Amino acid sequence: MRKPYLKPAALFLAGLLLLPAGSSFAAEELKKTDASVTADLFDQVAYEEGVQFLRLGNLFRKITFSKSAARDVNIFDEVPDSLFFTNRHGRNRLPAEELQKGASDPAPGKGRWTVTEGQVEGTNPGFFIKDAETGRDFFLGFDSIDTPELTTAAESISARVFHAAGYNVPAYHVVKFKSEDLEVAPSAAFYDNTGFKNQLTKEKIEELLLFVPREDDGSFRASVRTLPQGKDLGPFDFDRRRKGDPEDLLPHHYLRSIRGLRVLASWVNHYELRNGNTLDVLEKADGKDVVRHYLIDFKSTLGSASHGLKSPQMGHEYVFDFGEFFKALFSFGFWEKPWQKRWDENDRNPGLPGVGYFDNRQFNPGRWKSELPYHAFKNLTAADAYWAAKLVMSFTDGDISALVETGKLTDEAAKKTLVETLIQRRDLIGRYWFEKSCSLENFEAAGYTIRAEDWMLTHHLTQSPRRYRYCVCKSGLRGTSDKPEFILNSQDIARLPDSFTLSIRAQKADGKWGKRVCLSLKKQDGGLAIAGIKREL
Amino acid sequence: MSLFLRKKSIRIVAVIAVFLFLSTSLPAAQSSSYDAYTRLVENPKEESLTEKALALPAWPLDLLRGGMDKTFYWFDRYHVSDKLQWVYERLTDYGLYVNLLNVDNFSASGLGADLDVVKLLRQKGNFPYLRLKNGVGWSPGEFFKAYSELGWDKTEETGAYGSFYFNFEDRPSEDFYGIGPDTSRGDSHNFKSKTTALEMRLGYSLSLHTDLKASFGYKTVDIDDGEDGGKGRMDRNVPGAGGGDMLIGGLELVHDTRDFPDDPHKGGVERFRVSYHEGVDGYDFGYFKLRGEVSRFHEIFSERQVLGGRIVAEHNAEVNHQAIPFFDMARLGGYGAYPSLGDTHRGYQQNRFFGESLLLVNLEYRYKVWEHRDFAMDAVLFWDEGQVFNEFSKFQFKDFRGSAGGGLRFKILRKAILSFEIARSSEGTQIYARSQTPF
Repeated sequence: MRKPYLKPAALFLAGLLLLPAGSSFAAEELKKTDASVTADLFDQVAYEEGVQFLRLGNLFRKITFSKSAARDVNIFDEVPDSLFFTNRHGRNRLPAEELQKGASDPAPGKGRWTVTEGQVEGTNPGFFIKDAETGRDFFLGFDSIDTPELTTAAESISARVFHAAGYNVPAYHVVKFKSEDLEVAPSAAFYDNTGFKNQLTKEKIEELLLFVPREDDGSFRASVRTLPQGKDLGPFDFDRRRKGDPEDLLPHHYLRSIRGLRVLASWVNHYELRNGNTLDVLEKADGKDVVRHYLIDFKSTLGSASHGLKSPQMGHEYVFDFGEFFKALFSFGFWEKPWQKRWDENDRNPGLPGVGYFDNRQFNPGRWKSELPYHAFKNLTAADAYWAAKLVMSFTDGDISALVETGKLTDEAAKKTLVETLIQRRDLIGRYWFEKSCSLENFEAAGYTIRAEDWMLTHHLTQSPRRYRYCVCKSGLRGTSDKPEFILNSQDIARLPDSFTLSIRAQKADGKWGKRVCLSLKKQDGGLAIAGIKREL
Repeated sequence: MSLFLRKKSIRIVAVIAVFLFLSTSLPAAQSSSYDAYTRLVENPKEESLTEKALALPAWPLDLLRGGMDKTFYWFDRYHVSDKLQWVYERLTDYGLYVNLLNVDNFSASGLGADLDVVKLLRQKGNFPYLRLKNGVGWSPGEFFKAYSELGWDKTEETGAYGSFYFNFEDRPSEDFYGIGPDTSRGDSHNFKSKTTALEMRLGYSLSLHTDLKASFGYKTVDIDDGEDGGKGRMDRNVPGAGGGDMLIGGLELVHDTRDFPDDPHKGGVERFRVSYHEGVDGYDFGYFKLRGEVSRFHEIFSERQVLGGRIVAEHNAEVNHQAIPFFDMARLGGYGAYPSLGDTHRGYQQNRFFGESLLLVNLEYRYKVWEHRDFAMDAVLFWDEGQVFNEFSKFQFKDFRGSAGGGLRFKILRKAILSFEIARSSEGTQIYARSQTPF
């Protein structure tokens, strides 16, 4: 029997599948995406948590406990430079001055700044300003009146961490100014707490600044963010691609540079790592239009929440965490979560106001959670995390001290605590993720010997002796070694094809063998050449 | 000399050249390294057709999500929630309070509004003691209410206060199953009631926690067949089946030590009331109503676990063999909090039991299952045990009816704004969606 509706339906379906992802690039047609906390919450907490099972690929991976490999990696399992990520400190160590400088955008000059727009969240103000000296636009953010220096320091330090790691981050500076340094543009307006737009006047600014900590000399301390030059295209999505951008063809949850953010965020406790805190900017690069992807807004890092102290819960649970919810529900209140114990200590007083609850007492790198359950972060594989942990481990103790200096904290105890916490946390992250993968790096083939560096040893993350096991698949060639050096017998090699894979595993502290790193090797005159590296997911 | 120098230079150059050659070419022959950051990738640059096809089942819902997101963007862009809050606060400034009323669940929801006339006329500064309030509440098919109150408030911790209070309530459809503990759920009748009351209220706050109240008033109740047809007419021999007019005088002592009335963790309430009801205009009513209620709240182990309990006892004692109208008897069943009229027994339908006396125990274990900033969610496990009876001599422990259940309560700033509860009893399952807690 003929089914006349089948053909049009099939054509429609085929059309959907074959929709060109980005056949032509018309930069002016790229639309600005919207940012909304409510939409972020709805999408990730309510919608995606339910609909994820209708994405059959996801469902299959859940059933089979498998994970999808990142696709923005090169043949050596590294992330090459892209519009999301540029290898910086992890590739070539940056000197302390470069780390402290952060992004190359200038700070606003000393002089009069013109306020062009204001914003108020609760009692916390923020101002967009134009600086006559640099001709650039900036955003001024402040600390909460109860926690002076906490938020501005956190922003300054964390923005530099992400920049040095390789992400696109606007420049952040801690500045001081007096209210007389501000002029108000005639067109300046702001939405006040009534939700209506009002004209921003000098008097109104003075009024809003009443809720900002004031220094003894009457000045205000602010964190100033340089607004990137180029067309603002709104936030990007951690899971989905931007349609219409020919450089952005893969859904972002496939990108290691996005997945790895979870590890980096766990280091600096960047809880509010959500779509709304990102920005796409249309820029010129080598004479052509490109969409560069920025991370912005680091107010909710270290011990700071957006405005004020972060509760110890943040980092342990999503904003609404179904798993934790059901655990709490079915334990009938008798299971006290570790962060709840922490919170109840000392009458919910964290001690140092410049640090807040930022410590490592219950920190578990594998369980750290940001505010929302993005697929990208849930899809993090051991290989992705290993890559990100390498970035974290690239910061030495000296680097961390230099970065914390940029927070311009006046409390030496707070500064010392932050440095110590970040160093300890870095090592916890390195140890955890290096153990989960195979921490062999810098492979070198010398004749028929493969040498590597074990970063568990390089970074002094283990005291136990290390053993390694290697094998060439389907060849019977295998062996063990007490050091990261694998001497292959030339006669055995002669029996192998021209290209073969050597897989190596390291023994973990608990005696179990860790995940594999697979080296693609090619025979060449008198030895072997490394043609590729792949780490087990 | 120059030749020697030239030869020496040539030799030095040659040595350097050999050294450079050896240092670069020899190791290259023996070891190989690689550019770890090469742009050479092997992975596909976009999703395959199969991958796109596997995501298709979610596509229709993705379209809906897109619509929802656009709404949220619009809300956030135009600060709609701030505007709504501003409107609400402005209304409050002018003395208008809007509230949600629901009898047992949201399908029977309505809106209420209270108007503080003194605030509306901006006279609070001139007359801080004056109380002049009007209010209405309407839940379609469930009830309509209008009230007016004129009096004075206390402005100190202690002191006297009082008011004249007028109230009208129309309930077009209420169930009646008979009087006493042994009634059958199948014996259901439906009635409608219209109650008009005029009352004088006087009170004195002895302390922050203790109030003594007195009241004197007149009440007229019209009873007729309910709007929920097909359930049969009420037996006209039931006392009060034809309505009634009465005078009421009462005295009440309230001692409230709850730390936070909307979400108590500590303290409790003791409330004792005695009132005398005398029928007028030919209605042969005459009875004392005695009611006591004690509730207690305790944190156990941590501030996230609260055990709450309440005991309610009511007895209506006839005087000189006069009647006690059924509509003023103790009622048991349903969620309990106003505008429901029955006391809390969640496993049974609203107004399931009528009786001259009532004994009720409510136990609740509330524990926090989620919190984030000003938002929180409590889970609650409860057990209600109670009975109605007519004579003390007929009180029997076996007549106690129990129900148990659980639910979730969503709170903002420690005030429950949504409560979903499910209760089970021998008569089945009841589900509630309310915007308040029963006690």
